[in-house]
Amino acid sequence: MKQTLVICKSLIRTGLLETFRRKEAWVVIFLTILMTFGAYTFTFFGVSGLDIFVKDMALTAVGLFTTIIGSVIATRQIPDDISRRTIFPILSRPITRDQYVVARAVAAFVMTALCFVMMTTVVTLLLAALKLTFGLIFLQYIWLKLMAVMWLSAFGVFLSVTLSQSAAFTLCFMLALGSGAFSRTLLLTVGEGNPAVNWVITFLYGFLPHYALFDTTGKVIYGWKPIPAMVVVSLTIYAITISAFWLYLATRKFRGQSL
Amino acid sequence: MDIIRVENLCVHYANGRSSHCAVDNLSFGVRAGEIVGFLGNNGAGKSSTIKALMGFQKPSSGSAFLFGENINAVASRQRVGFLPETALYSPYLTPRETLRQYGELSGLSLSEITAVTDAVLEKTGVRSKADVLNRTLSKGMLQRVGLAQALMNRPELLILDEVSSGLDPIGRRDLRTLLLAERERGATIFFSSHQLSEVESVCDRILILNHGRLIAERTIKDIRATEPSLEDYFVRVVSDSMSAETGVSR
Repeated sequence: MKQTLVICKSLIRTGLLETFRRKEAWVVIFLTILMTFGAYTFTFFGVSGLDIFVKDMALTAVGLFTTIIGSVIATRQIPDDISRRTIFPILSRPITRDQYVVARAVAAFVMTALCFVMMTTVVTLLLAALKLTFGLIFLQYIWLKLMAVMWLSAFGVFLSVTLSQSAAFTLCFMLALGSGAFSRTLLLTVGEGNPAVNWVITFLYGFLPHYALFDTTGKVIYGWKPIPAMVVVSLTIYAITISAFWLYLATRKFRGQSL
Repeated sequence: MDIIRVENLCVHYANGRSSHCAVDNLSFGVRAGEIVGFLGNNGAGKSSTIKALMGFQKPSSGSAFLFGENINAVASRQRVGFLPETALYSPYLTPRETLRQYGELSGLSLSEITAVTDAVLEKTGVRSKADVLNRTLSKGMLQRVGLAQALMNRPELLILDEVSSGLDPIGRRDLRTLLLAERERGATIFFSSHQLSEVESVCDRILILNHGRLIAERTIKDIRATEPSLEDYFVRVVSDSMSAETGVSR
């Protein structure tokens, strides 16, 4: 366990250096500011009552860019090492493949989480300067988003050891963005067919990612009261369980892979 | 004691329905303190053998041991320094940061890393470029960074794949000096290379592979006594092996 933490720490440190030197994090932060401020500029033309629109634009930008950067970071961790051949000196150290996969997923999670926290901080400060604030539910929004990022990182790493890097990114991004639509469609369909079909649909609903469950953007921008703690705890347990499941599959797949 | 022990090793690559045999029933040993050159044409099976030794490629059959430990055991890699063929170390890190990463992965403490890094950078000739990004380095300089990362944990066994790849004549001379210094320190060295002059000047013994099979195993001293040069010997042995194979297939 201690060794895995040392490996995680090392890969997180170098991963963060790379992410910031590649300037990806700065680009998404800049785009988030641009979108938020762009929405606010409508007030300069005499349009009033745009608070919800500006907040919506800001949090949509944060959510979208977090999903994009999370998918990119998670799906490139291992393929980058393989294509650069740096996986060989890494795995020539006394570390197991399982430790390597877990460390890469944790590194992807920390990098994406940091980008998300930076974007959120910038947006909150910007909105505060524009005299727009969020309620307490915003803290739950941040926590649940971090849980979603954990799921995204584990899922992205699993896809990256199974598919090519571009296919892994596309699928990861599509399933993350489209998970809400998939889930809704399945919920509408269940009960319409015979029991066997319902069983398949129920299985699919359980198996498919539910990234959208963690998104409370709508509730935050409309100023809802905090959601019950039980819901947050359940979603946290679900995120940890499903992330562990994807990581388990990733380690199983990577264990026997020829490099 | 054999530091490296390979017994009846076979490596097959599946390609759809067909299968390609890269290493065929290979057996050899490397003793402590030796410098052994691993030679062969492109596709002879050198890199596949090295990958199997490091646990990157699962052998189809046979077994291999490092320091008496089966290669499947993580502990077998504890005292090994490995240089892969032409690795592109992270373009957004500096050589110093790269070495810190590999030092940490080797289980060294920060103080140990700090103490070793400068010495290793000096030894491999990367010190002047220690704090510039890897993406600005030449291929030869990246190869030196690769050598530096292999030396970070003061390994007792160095396994180097195509070690002189990308190095200029001065780099190759420095490499020879480095390999001999490492042997003086007590390290055992096993490396593959196409630079026969370099192999001749530093190795105690050579192994020649052709189509995954070991076709010759001799000491350099012996070759010097009986052959015009290592190059002549290598060409003759490989040609004979190819002719024999062609004859058999006919």
